[in-house]
Amino acid sequence: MTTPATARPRAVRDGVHDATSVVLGYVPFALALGAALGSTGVAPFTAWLSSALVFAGAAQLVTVQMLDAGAGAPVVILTALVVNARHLLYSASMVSYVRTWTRRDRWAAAYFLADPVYALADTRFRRQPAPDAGSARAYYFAMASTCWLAWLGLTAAGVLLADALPTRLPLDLAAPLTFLLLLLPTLDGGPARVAALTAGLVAVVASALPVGLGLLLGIFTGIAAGRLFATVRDRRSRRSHTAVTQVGQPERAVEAPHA
Amino acid sequence: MPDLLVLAAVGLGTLGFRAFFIVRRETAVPARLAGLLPYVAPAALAAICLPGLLPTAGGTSAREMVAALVAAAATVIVWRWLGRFPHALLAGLATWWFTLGAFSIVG
Repeated sequence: MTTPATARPRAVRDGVHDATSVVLGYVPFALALGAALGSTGVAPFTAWLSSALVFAGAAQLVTVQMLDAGAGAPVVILTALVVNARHLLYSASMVSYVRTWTRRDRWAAAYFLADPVYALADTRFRRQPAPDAGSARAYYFAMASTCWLAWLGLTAAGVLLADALPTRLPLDLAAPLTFLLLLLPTLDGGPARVAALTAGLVAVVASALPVGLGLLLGIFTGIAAGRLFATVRDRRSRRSHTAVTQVGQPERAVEAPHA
Repeated sequence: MPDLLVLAAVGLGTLGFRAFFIVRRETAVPARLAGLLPYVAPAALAAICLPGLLPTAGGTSAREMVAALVAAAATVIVWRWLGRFPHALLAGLATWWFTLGAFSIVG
């Protein structure tokens, strides 16, 4: 029998295990990002601190590169926040899982809520509801802090080894494949598949748009497409259910007198 | 503004986004928004991963795109077969290297 006493250590182990699998995938991306951060005109230590302050690869790179190019602070901040706007949706999506946590834990959970952390948490909590809030929290913080520590360590290594790393690591595809593997468990029905396909295709077509707007456009279009598909499907199923009920009623009316 | 302050502002703004719903006193999400939430994860992850697999900019050749798609297919197949993340990732990367190598041999 699973009790909170046995469930929590197991949740911690699961969290570290799941995070380690993802970290393996983003080793090349984190190293390359660290090298890119370290090769700008921004002081290497300051550039690396973005891993702790922002903890979101794309926004870190955009921020440091724009600072390097001499862009004004308001433009840099606004651009990076547009790139990270999807985290607002992650926050809304996590509400039901963290509702019972203390306010301090929810602040800490928010700090860690980067793309892979959100993907792992959503998959885990959707498929395998924790036996108690403590286990859910144990899983989340074990997984998130493993991702966070690895991110800080790997980007630091990238900054330090910027000159030693080959200019073109033959691992460019590791990050997209990692996100593909995070995506697969979320495709648990027709509407989710429609949302993913639409979002992905729109993001590809719109990838030339500046400051990550293609990404946001893809996400919003995908969400709308998934919702629309679900609404149409539900209406059709309700209509066919009504038709079956209407056909069934006279039979019951005929049967009733015999009863 | 010093670089560190800009980074701190970006970090604070990002934390604000991430905390906006989960730290509010009122934890109920508006009904209209709640209906959209099941599609956030698939849409966001697909929008992040697909442009990486099918980059349209940067002079990517058709062969590189085909190699990326074959690698993605291998990743999906191995994940469905074994259900293990590292195995699927390694299979995808190995397939990618093999396909690129095959293309370079063919010329």
